Amino acid sequence: MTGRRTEEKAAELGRQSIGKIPDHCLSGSEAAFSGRRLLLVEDNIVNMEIARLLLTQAGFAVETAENGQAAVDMVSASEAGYYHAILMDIQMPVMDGYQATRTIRALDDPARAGIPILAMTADAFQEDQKAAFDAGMQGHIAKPVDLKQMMTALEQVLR
Amino acid sequence: MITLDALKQYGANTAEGLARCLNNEAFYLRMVGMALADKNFDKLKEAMDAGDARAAFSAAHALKGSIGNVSLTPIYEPVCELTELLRGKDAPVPGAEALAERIMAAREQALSL
Repeated sequence: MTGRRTEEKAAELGRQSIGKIPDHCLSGSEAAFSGRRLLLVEDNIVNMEIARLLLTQAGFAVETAENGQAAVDMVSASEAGYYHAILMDIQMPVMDGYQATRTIRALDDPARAGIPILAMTADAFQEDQKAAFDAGMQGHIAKPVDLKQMMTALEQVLR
Repeated sequence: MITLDALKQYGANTAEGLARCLNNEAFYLRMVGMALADKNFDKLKEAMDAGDARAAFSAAHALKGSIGNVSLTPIYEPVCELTELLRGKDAPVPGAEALAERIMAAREQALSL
């Protein structure tokens, strides 16, 4: 067995011991998610850990940032195409999710400026969703997390 | 040490909270402990004491996400009510104080499980 296959096997065993995404929450999307890299931007540790668990189990590689400024810095320093999508909390210290999204959208490099960004918020109001779209976000993931809704929103922007 | 049974008796929707943690009980219970230690409880109290409706909304809104994620219903319900009551408000709102007290009492009860 090669080193790489050993690593993959270990990762698979790790996923099994933690928990498994129920089949009804996936519609054949796990293959599409495998190896895709997400930037998860969230200042609340509970929300961060739960989202990280679910996304990792769905096959994503997950990196995290604790506020909008940190996210902007990570995206700016990344190679084009490194992040496939960003999950962005709205209410955060230092820089909120709207401002971070506008800043990323204004980056010079079109590949990085165009990364799909989904809002993660406890607000389901139309005006809040409009504010997210106006800032340049493509979709919305609810808090508390609804696993199926989260996977569907990701499928839509990663297709 | 908080247990699943104690949380159920307390009124938490443990089935929902566990499902959100992929039925990993140890992980769920760790998240419950972290959610109960959320600094936004203190921020909410400070904001209510200071009559700062915006800061109180901000803290309640943050708790809605974290407490909701672990399905601590007895705290989550008044947190949602308070969030909506304070949404877009700049001055103290009648009824907010009572909701904040319910939130703090429910948190204390959970911490004593």
